[in-house]
Amino acid sequence: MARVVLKDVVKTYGSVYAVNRVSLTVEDGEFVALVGPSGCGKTTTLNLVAGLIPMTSGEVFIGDRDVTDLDPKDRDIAMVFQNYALYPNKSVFNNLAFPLQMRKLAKDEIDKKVRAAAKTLDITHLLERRPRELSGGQQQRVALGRALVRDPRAFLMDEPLSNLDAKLRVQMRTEIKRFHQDLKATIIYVTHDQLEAVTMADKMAVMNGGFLQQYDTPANVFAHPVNMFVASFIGSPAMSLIPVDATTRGDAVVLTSPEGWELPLSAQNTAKARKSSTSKIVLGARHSTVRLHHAPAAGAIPAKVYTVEPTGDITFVQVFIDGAVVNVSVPPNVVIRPDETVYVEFDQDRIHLFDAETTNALAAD
Amino acid sequence: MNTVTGQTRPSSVAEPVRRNLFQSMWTHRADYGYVLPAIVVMLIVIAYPVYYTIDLSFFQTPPGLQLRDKKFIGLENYRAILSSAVFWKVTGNTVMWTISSTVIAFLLGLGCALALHREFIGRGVLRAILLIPWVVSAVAASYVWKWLYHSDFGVIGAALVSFGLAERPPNFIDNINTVLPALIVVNIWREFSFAMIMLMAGLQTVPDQLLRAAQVDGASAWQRFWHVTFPHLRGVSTVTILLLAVANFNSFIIPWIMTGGGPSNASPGQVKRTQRRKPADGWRWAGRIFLAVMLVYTVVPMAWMLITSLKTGFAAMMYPPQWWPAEPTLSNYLRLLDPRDTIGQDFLHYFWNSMFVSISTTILAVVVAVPAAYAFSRFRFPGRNFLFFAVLLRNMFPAVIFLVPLFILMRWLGLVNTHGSLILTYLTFGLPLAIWLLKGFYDNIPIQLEQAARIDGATRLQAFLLVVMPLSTPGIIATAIYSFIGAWNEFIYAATFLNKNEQMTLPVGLQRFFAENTTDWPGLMAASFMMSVPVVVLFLVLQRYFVRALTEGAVKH
Ligand SMILES: Nc1ncnc2c1ncn2[C@@H]1O[C@H](COP(=O)(O)OP(=O)(O)O)[C@@H](O)[C@H]1O
Ligand SMILES: [Mg+2]
Repeated sequence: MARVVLKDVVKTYGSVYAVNRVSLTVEDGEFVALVGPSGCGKTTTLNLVAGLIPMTSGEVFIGDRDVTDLDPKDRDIAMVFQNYALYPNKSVFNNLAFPLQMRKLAKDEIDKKVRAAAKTLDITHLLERRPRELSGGQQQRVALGRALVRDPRAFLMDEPLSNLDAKLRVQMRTEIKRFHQDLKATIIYVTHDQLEAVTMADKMAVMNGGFLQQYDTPANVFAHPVNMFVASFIGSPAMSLIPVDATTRGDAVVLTSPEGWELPLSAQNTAKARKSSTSKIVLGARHSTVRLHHAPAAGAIPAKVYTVEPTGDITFVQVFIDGAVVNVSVPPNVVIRPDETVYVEFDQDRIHLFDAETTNALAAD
Repeated sequence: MNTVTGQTRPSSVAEPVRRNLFQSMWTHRADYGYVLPAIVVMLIVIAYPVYYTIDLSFFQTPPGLQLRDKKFIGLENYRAILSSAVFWKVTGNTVMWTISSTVIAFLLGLGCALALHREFIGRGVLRAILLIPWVVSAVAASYVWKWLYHSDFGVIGAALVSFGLAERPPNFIDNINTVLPALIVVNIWREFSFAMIMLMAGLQTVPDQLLRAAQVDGASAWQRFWHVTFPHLRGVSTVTILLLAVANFNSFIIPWIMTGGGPSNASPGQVKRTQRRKPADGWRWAGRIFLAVMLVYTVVPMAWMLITSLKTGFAAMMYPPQWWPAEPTLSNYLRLLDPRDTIGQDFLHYFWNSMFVSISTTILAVVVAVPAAYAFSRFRFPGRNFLFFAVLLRNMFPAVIFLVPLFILMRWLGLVNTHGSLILTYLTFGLPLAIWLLKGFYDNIPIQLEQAARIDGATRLQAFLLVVMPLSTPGIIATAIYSFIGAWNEFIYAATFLNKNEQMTLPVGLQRFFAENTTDWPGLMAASFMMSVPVVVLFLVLQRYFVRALTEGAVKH
């Protein structure tokens, strides 16, 4: 296994930037999830690492080698595709054998390796079948097997689980994770599902519009999103974002709303709010850091209940503050009705403040 | 480590790339290599003659085509031709011929396709038989029908008389009122099954779910056809009608051979399509009856060709005809295959010439079409659409207008009286369909398959040869059959470019043979049969690939 480095990678299609100056280092043995909404450039980035499409500018290193100008076959990587890309006219055995045949291995060695990989993935009984005779989950295993059968320097996976049903997806998630730990494999894993990224990856690279937005451990991305896009993309339900005005009152900054409520900020948050380029600020809060009161309380903001969604062990409540939807979670025994007026209290230590102009997070030095 | 690359910070955006056309073409320069052979062949055989024809149309040439003495006369030629009564009459006839042939062939093809869509025993055989006329050469078909129509010994006339429908065998071809319908019947005989095969492929792509949904919604069989099936067939229908119309507009062999010399007669009455508005079971019966009628229409001429070929010259010229030869003989065939006989020598010569030309054309067509189709499907080079449609347009030009310029070009290339001239020309017949068909295949093969192969250690070429090519095998086989049949049956260019007996191909040889032995109908029928055998056998063996190719490749879109 080896580390993978992207340096200022750019890919344009006509005047469209599919990937825009992305720099990223994936350490040896690391599992990195490349996550972002559809069309943000994840597949393109992965294809650039694989060498499947010509790069507009930038460099790619695998191990210590500059592979920027190498053919995919010389980069020694394995890839799993979203639609599996199994060779339809070859049996499962020959699908797995193909990468080894291309490397001109001896017949008996190919046989041994294919059977070993098939055993790992529990698909030995399928070896003689054609891909179209397999279920989606089985095809997925074969696709993984074709990557596993040789030991490449890195694995690239492009939404490998997105065509599976929910239950199978969870199961395969565990298996891939397990397989990463056993092999100490370097993996770049593309997904549009933030939950998949958060649960599987050592680090996640959040992309949007061709740009790399944030690259950090899932915990850090979750706790310290660098901008409003990352804040709202990671976490489910999404972080609530409320546009407010910041007014200085003495030493403190007070958030004010056209609806009349005010929220004095703590000293630390005041320091953050002062960094904003204008007085327009966006207040962000995750559902678990917001408390609901039935009666007015100090520092609580009046809000109207929109929907109540019990899920069993937790109940999600959506309320309106200034026209913005705010997600709140409450224990299942709390009784709340739609259209009721409630009072929302934010945990000042765990709120996020964003510059409404630049959308970047405001940090206290 | 926190990396923030502000999507919100425009300063970090690299300069927008603005590349001009030339730079873009340069980037894609390798892509042009794939389409180059196809384009070069097309340019030679199409572009030059078109230029030449247009250029020459502004000049007056002295008799004998002394081109050095040509005189510029501007639009005078056009004025002359547009004011000539003959021109308008001929154009009127051509339009009549084109429209009726196209519409009737299409409707008959649609009827067959619908009737054959449902699975039943013998369906495959029936489909194969109905397809045979399409692969028989126009020259052979013309002679067979000419014999059927024969005013003295024709089987159609004799049948009409014996059913009491006519007093004496009518003479259709020499009658100004019946000659056009009689020829149209022959033309439709040859081409309705092309419409059938295209529409059958189209029908297979009609989503079952949609039909079932319509059924649940209470739509009758007719409503399902009208609201679901027919709209779905619009694309295929358009292409089919266009191809038929262009072929008909440019066709020339059937009228030329059938009216050249021999009298005959025709009956278009066999092929009435009955209006049916009965419930589903009625539809099925109507379909069966329709198929039976079409089967008779298809088989009778071929059967009569075979029967005649087993007769002696004397037995063939009897009235009323012998429905079955009293003394069947293989002598007509033995003579054609006898290398000691001069006729046999000639025939075998023509046969091998046709083989050589057809096989060479086929191999070259595949070699040229595959990379071009692949490039048109996969690469995004400037001018791609233009070139693609330029290739497809090839069939729009009537063969006849190219004869002279192509002949001059071939003479200049030193190819006159060589098989090379034919191979080069025939190559361009098959290319449009081949490229269109194969492109459909490549469009349907996910690019990820090739990417997977390249990651698995294959080069671009290996990925193509080992992964993509095998998946387009039906398309390649279909392309090959189509090219082979086209080359095997071609007549006009062969008659123009070659004038040495030892180089002639079968269709020309057949026509020569007839010109010299005007009354040897059994010999002619035997020769027509022998000439049809290779293409018919080839086609029958491989026709399921053809249908698959149409279904999976072209029609899907
Ligand atoms: N071959 C191509 N030609 C033109 N534009 C493309 C091509 N491939 C991708 N794009 C564009 O690049 C952007 C990123 O695409 P992609 O990397 O596939 O996104 P993702 O995998 O994140 O969904 C999209 O806007 C897409 O339309
Ligand atoms: Mg993608």
